Amino acid sequence: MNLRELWDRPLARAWMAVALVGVLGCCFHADGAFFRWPTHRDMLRQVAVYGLLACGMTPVILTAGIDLAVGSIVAVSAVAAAKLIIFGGVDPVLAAGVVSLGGLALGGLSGAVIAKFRVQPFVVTLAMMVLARGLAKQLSGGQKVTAYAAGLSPTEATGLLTGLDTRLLGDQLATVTAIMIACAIFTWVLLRRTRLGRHIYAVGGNPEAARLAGVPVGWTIFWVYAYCGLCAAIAGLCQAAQETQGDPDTAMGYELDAIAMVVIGGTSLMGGRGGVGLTVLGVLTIGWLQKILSLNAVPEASRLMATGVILIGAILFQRRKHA
Amino acid sequence: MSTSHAVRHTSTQGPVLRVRGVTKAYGRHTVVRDVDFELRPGEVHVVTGPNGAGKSTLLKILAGVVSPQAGTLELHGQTREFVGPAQARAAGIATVHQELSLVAELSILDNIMLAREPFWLGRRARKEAALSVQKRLTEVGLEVDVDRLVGQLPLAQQQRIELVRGLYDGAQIFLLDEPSSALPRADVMHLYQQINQLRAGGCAVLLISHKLDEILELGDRVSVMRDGEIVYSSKIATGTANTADDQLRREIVAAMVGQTSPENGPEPSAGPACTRPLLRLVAANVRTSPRVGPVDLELAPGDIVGLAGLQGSGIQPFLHALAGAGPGLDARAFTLDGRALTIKTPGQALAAGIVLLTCDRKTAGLVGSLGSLDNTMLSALERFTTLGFVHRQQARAAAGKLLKQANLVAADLDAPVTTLSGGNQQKVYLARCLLAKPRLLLVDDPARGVDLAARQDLFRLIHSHAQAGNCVLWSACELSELTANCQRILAFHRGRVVGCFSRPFDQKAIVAATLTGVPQATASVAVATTQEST
Ligand SMILES: Nc1ncnc2c1ncn2[C@@H]1O[C@H](COP(=O)(O)OP(=O)(O)OP(=O)(O)O)[C@@H](O)[C@H]1O
Ligand SMILES: [Mg+2]
Repeated sequence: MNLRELWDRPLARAWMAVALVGVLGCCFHADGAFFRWPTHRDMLRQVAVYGLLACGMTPVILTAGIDLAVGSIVAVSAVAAAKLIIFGGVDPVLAAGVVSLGGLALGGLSGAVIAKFRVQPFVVTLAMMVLARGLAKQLSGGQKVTAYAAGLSPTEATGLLTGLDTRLLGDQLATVTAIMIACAIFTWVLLRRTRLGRHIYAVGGNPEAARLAGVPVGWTIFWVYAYCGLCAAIAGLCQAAQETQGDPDTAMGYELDAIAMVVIGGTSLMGGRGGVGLTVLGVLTIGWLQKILSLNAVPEASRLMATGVILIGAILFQRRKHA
Repeated sequence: MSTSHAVRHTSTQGPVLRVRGVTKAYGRHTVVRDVDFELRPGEVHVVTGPNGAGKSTLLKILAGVVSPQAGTLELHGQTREFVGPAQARAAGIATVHQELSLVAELSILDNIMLAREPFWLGRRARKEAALSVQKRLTEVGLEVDVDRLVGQLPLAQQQRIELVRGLYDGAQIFLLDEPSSALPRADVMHLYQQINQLRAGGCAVLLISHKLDEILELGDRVSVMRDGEIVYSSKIATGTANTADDQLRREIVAAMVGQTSPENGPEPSAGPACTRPLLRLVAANVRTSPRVGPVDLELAPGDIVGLAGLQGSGIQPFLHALAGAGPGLDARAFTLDGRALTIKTPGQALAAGIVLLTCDRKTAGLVGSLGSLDNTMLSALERFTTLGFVHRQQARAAAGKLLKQANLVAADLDAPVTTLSGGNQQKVYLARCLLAKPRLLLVDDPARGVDLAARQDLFRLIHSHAQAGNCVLWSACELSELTANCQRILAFHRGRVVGCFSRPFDQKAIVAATLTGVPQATASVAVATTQEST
């Protein structure tokens, strides 16, 4: 394979982007901080919630759709988990199960409306975004759900809430990172190795052809959004664990970060092209970029501007030539 | 021509698929009206008829894609419900739709297995499927890697992949909607073989076609549809003698149009005698690899010149280059109407007065969501615009007039153009090219999928456009279309012009030139440029 062909492959370009950011890190290493593993461990912990959302978002974008509700679903899930565990005293594993099903249901609801009534995903999930945020405030009564509010000391907040915020492998890897990796692998298998995965690509590439071939287009769309909701709920659990509380105002605007990560990876918003491997590289690109900017103590204003510029640059760089 | 007739046997079995009294209406427009239709094993049933007659709709009803308002369906003698495409496929019905319906972003393998894949696609299962699909592909003469993306294949190959999907399914009923209309000659012969094999294997085939030769060559039975009804139906006897053939031909044409009409185009007039060339092209090369050219060409106003050649002979890149739609053109001289041109984009070409009608109306031609009128105006908007405002009424009137001349059959001129029948979409496409009033019109298979009668109308439109002092370069799958309509024909072979023929045409010599690259010694060869100057 010659260099040119290699260059035409999105995966090669996504790796290039990661490598470029890596080089940037090596140049601005903040007194060697960039060369120490804990820096990267922390980066991987910080991107975990975003990464989970991006993994769920990838199949949605592959069907040429979009899900704006994931940030709000994170908030609902975080509130619900905190409420169940701290106030309800529910077994954490059971609580996690209930919350995940809740996310699946919320996502599925968006999917059902999109598939059944052929409304544009943008509009439906925008409505769901508002609705879920309202639900989070309703559940929490507008207050942060904390152990303190329940009259318990923070250490008494049992099991899961703190349990998820631990590290594995002799302190080398955050548990939430492991969850994100597991989710990415699961999504990869879903997209590459199952029937649903093929249908997702087909529906995104040419919905009419897919329908004519006998693909259940409606069900495919339904499951894609349900899965995205599930990932968002899991992300909500991780968020609650890291904050040790359920904050109804958390994860504001996370959906845009998730979409940016998917797109930076090289998955096409037009549908049908891309994959979760690319998304993982997108997550790394943005995660590292943020880390490097904060390591070098760039003030927030410049950080945002720099991120904007680099995002555009990365997307231009990823852009595929039209044949 | 009729080598296949030997293998035919008239089937004595009952029909495998039969519909009675099906009716389908879109709004108040009834498209299929109380139709009875059946397919028998080992038989090719051809359906023909004018554009918009409802042929594709009937096929879609059988394929489960469209559900009719009334009617019953019997499959293998058992009454069934009309259900979705998935169930039709499961029942052994394979469909090749008129407009290509594959997912460009998926590989060949994924497309063929689409909606039939096992729940779990392990590496092993994939490899096994790949092997069996590869075998099927070789059977139909496609030597391609199953992991190639479908979007990277030429149109002609994509079509065959839909057929392979049916073979892979093990289907017993094949519904083919104008399968040969997108194919170059060589591939058409392959397709015919394939259909004959299906027949010999006891499959039932529904074939929609506008080509009389094809109908007679392949069909065992022919039905003519008009205005949603089957108005004529006849058996085609095996090994018909030529006289009976002629008789049948006349009957079919009569049933289609309600009267007999000539099969070929209007006699081209000699064109106004004019010494100043309109288009001058010297040593033009297209920057493709391998290069196309050099082409030397001089066209006078009124000239219609045909380009004949096999697939891959460089005609398409040449036309695209002239219209700024592909790799660029290098020429020592490229002048239109005395002005020297450099064209890099279709916009520049349009401004210079060059418009191309591509052979692919769906992806490169029409804007599907716009109505027929809006599509027709698209290239001519400049003329109807002052200070950025469009004179809508004027533009609509001009577009409407042209569509009428093109004999468009459409219930609503503002409905999305995708709701028109295939042939009618083609008319809209040609109308759009003509409304732009190009000095140089480039057409690639302008009558693709257009019925016999409407063909004449389209050809007449192109002729009168030329007569108005413009010139036309014409490429077509069928040589007879060129010989009937052009004053001269250039033969292309592997990117080079190997001969220039003028009337009266020696078809054999042209075919020989396009096949071998060597014009026959006796042919009326002349260097393209020398002709006008006399
Ligand atoms: N989805 C739709 N909505 C509205 N009208 C439609 C739709 N599909 C088809 N029609 C109309 O039904 C009529 C029959 O169309 P159909 O495609 O069956 O014609 P056809 O016989 O296949 O013609 P052609 O030879 O041009 O392919 C046309 O007038 C067309 O405008
Ligand atoms: Mg049709």
